[in-house]
Amino acid sequence: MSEPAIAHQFSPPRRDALRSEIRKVEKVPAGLDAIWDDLKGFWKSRLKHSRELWKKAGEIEAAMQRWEAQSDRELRDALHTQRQEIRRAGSHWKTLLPDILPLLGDLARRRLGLTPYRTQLMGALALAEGSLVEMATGEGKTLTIALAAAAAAWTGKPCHVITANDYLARRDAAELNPFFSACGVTAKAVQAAMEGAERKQVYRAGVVYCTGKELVADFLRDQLALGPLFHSGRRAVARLGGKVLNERRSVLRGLHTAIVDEVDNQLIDEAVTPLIISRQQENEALEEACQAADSCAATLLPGEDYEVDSRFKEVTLRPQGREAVAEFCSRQKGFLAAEDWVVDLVRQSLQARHFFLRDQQYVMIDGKIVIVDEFTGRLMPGRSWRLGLHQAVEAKEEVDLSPPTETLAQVSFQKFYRFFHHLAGITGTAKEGRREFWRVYRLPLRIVPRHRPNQRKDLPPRFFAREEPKWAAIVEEIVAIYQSGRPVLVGTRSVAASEHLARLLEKENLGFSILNAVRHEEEAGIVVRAGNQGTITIATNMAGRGTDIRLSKEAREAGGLHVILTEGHESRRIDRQLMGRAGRQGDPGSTRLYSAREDELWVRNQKFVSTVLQKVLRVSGLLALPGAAKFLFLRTQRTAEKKALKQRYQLIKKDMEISQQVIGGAGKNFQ
Amino acid sequence: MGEDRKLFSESWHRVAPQKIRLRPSVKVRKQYFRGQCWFVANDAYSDQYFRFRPEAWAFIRRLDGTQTVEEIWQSTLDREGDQAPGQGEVIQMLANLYQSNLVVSDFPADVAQLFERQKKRHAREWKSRLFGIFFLRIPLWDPDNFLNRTFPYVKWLVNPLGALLWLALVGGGLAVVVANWEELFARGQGVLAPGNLPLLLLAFVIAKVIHEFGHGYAVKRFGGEVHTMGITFLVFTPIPYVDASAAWAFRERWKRIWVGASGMIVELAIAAIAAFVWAATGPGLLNAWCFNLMVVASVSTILFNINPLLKFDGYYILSDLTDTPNLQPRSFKQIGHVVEKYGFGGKHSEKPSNGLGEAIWLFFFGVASWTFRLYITFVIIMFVADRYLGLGFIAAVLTIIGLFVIPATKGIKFLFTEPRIERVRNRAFAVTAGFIGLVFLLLGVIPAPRYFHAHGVLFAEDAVFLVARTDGEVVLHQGHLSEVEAGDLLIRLENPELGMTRRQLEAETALLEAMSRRLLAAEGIGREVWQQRYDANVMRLLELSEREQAVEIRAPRSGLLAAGQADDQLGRRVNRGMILGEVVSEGSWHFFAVVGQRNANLLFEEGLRNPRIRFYGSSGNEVIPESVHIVPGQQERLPSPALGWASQGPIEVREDDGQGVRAVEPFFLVRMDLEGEGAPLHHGRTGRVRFQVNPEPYLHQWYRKLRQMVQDRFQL
Repeated sequence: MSEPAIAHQFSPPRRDALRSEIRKVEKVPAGLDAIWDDLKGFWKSRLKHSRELWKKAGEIEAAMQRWEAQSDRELRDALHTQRQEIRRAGSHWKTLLPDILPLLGDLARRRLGLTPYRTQLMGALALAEGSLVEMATGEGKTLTIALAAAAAAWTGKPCHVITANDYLARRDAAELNPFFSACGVTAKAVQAAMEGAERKQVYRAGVVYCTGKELVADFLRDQLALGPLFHSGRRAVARLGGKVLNERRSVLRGLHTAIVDEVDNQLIDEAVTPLIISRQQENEALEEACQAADSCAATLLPGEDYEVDSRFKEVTLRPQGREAVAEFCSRQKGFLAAEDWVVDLVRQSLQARHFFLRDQQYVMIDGKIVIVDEFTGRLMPGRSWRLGLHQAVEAKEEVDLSPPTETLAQVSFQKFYRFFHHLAGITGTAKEGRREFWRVYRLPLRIVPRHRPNQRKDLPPRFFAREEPKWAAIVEEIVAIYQSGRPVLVGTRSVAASEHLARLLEKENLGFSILNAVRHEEEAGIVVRAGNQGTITIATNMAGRGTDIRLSKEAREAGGLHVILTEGHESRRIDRQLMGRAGRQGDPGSTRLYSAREDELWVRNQKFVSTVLQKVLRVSGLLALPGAAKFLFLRTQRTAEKKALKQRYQLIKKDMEISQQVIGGAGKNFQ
Repeated sequence: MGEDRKLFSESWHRVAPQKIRLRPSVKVRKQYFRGQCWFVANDAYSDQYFRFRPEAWAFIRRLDGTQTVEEIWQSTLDREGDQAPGQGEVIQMLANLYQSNLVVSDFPADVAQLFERQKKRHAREWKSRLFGIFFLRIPLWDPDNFLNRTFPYVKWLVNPLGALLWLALVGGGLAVVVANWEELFARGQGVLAPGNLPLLLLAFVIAKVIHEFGHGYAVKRFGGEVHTMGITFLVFTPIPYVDASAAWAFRERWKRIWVGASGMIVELAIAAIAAFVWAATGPGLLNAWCFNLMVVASVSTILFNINPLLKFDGYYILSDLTDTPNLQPRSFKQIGHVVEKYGFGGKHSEKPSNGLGEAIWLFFFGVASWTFRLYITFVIIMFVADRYLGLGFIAAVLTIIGLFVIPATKGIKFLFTEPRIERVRNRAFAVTAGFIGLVFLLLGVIPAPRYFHAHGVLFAEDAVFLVARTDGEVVLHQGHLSEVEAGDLLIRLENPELGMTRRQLEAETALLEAMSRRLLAAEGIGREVWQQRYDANVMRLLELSEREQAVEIRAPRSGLLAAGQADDQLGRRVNRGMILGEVVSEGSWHFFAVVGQRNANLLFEEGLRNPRIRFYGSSGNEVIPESVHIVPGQQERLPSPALGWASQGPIEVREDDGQGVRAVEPFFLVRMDLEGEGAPLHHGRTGRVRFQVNPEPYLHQWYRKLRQMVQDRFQL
């Protein structure tokens, strides 16, 4: 098959406009509208739709089986015809899906050796229609996405598949290439290391596999490169005026279709992470100020000079502290004599000391601070905290201050994904966020049933008042499971916790592998071994997503993987993700959650009511009742979820407000 | 400088690379408010104002389009240190300037957004019009050209000489008014009579048009521009207005005050001229109209315009006098700030005031202004609901929405979503709930004393009227409420006519007698006629003696004299047949109160306690009845016609009843026995009795009253 006619020598006007055309970001409903909107979302996500899709998928499966007998040539001709049909259908192409999917499904069988299940066909259908798809771990999401992506790419509009990391992007693009090329679609993967020209070439492919981070960065760079000309109307006018446009500077073909894998991670957990294009600037004064502020902060005492609010991660200076800062300033010259600003820096420095802890929020590698992503547990080299804070943390660690960066452009995932005309996502844990997915991204939920019945047992969670007995109990359970010959996966929340557990296990003389942000090189090997009989694997959150732990035969017979959650996360979804590592594709398995009231989740999410409730329960002895502690735990987790949700809505609101207030051209309005 | 200043902002990159400059049409002036220096920027094209502190000005003045915001900020920071604005403050400032259309950027503007903004502004204007329908403002005309052309003609008036002239004029007018006070007062009673209304309205409109031009010319005098003139529909009454906001840019305070006061000044001059004309002309249309003009231009000015609690001239003058621009919005903000900071314990609330004095002043002004607005709106709604049923109802509902529902919704939204009070939201909820609970407790739970009123009339059990049986002038009077014995002289009249009549009659009698005797001597022919005339004269004399005796009015029985105060009565002329008073027996008075169906349940269920009677004309005195009896069965005939509408009484009577005692609605009678002491008791006197019934919380009472009112007025 010939190369698809996408890489043109020149851009026809419509295609040129498409380069930078983004959907107008709608206002997220609030107040009474929000309630009405929620009802609408509820209605659109009702199970009837999922059932209908399931029925349709059945018909498609039947049609697909009919194709098995046909020759390659006949299939190719049919594909060719359908492809033309899709082009002709324009925006109605989705109505043709029942005709196309059997062909694509059979093609997958021929080229990849994978016959799509009915569940996968249903998932593909839902993705192509632009929904939020919940599909259990290990049910073959990769192929599901590929089916939908191939159909979407046939429309000729740019189609991006967003994966969790570069490795997955590369792997999927390579594995699926026979399938895609048989469809007449190129599929390529963007990698972090790629340079401009290569990148541009990759983005020309029909289906582009990439991480969200890379795509956003390229989008922002395009934006900066085009400036006001980002607006296609302006480009047209400029061209009419005979201006020679430097269009080569932009690499993207535009944003049209996005199919997001692990969609809850990208659209909810990471939603507020600002993605920044920045440039380093020399600002010695600032570096000096941060150093000075750090040395000043070091002299202050908590409780006396300042107060720490661990719930809101805030530090407030008390009058005494302010005086100390004033006194410090009076000994300084220039910028540092400006008390107000030094106070701000000192506060940041104190924040860095109290809330930004080594091996939790960041790790030290080669004398440099590397941020650890709180949700995925992965290292985020190159990322930095906001201006001043990053330097404050560096000053605390007594490493060389990195020069402050100057933000050139910035966007949050939350906003970015709303730019797509056609957005769809797939994950194993979508239900919990359905309201937000609808309200913010207009994605209705479709639940795909499991291909094989679930064999996983979720054992009752165990709760403790203090951390020590919790760890002791965890070690005990690990030993017990280890002795039964089953593999164990222990999920920890931070690097520090995983190291702590490692030390405890060493005392027991147990062999184990450890997977965290610091020791991430052997990741693939550890994951491969994790399903073997009698293996103990300690992992931070990074094991939660996209890692497919395959069981060995003996391990399956011994009872499958046992997953231990050493503490609750701030969202039920993340817990469920980790639990989902056990019992994949109908395998046996079990999980257990441990939680102590000294855990971060409890400390940071105490509301007045739940504190009182806890006290009442404890004093009255009702806490011992089965379910009481679990009730409190779920309550706390809900509080945390609500807090995060509120923060995300506030970001949307603030974004909207600022972009309305601040001066800026059309190209700037989405930042 | 607060605790919260932040040097860096995450949004900085949005503005940092832009080259921003003030629009060429923007003028900036230095002004002092309450001793503090401010800079006021004004764009003549868009008529927008914006004021900022010198620290901000140090930044803004560098916005000339040659340097980026980043560069300007860096250099300001180097130079000013602490005093320089932080990045967040700069963004806020630029956003405000941009919103006010005072700056342009080298970045192309987002046109769609500009349209969006315009649409929003229009929507907001319409909303405020709708919910402020009683103060509806419709701009019609740009009077600037007209004012410019005509200003030379009035220019000679606006100078010290003009001021002298004005003083003379107003002084003269005042003198005229004082000189003709009696007549003025007498006619003043009829100003609101229906027949006078067209004249009054005409006078009102003309006075107000001149008033507004007064403002306009004052602005011209100080070099400002006036671009909007239109009509305000104040409770559906059209009144002209001009937009004199150009005055805000005047540096000197006195100029601004002059502009605010000029309307009233001109109107007072008009009133003075009208007073001259009125005094100089005889009765006629011109005279009547000038009278109306005089009243309107003086009284209305003083009553309406000077009140600072509504947004009329007085408000602007006060706001300039106290050097607090945007007085009302800022005072409301101050209240919000006080609630947020002290009530909720929020730490991030921005202070709208500079200094404690201003804070206190703003707070109390806000409270007063809001209370007054509430009150006046309530009055207007009552008035309008009474007059214009359908329309008034809609307008009232809109106003209630604007005044209560919208602020309440905003308040709720604030409580639930405002990020500033995130940390103290629980306390905010508690305080708000506590406050609402307290108000509810005071109004809705704690019983408050409750009363109802009934009109009635006083009867003495046995009263003897004192009737004047001759004309005359009262020369002696025993005085009110004096105890009298039967036969005591109570009142003496003097009638000089009686003496003269006697002399005339006696002379005639003598003549007739003499004539009669002469005829007797002349054989008596025709004597009978004379004899008869003589006899008649004697009869008249006898009658006269009776009348002469009747000048002394004596007590027909013992008791109390109820005949008005001696001082009032002395010198009064009475005619024959007039009732001069009564002699009533002590301790046997009855007050009959008429209780309508509406209060009947109170009468029978709640019991009547602490009745207090007040008589019309002497409301200062309260009379406490001895005992209260309800006359069984409902009545239709009023105890006295004095209570009925036919005699200007309070109770509606049937029109077909000639006596005016048959009430339209049946009623119940309550009889109260009174002791005669200590009160100006007077047979047939009308008054009002107040009963106390079981206490009930205010909310219940108000709800009941509202329902009764709706029932009465709208027959619903």
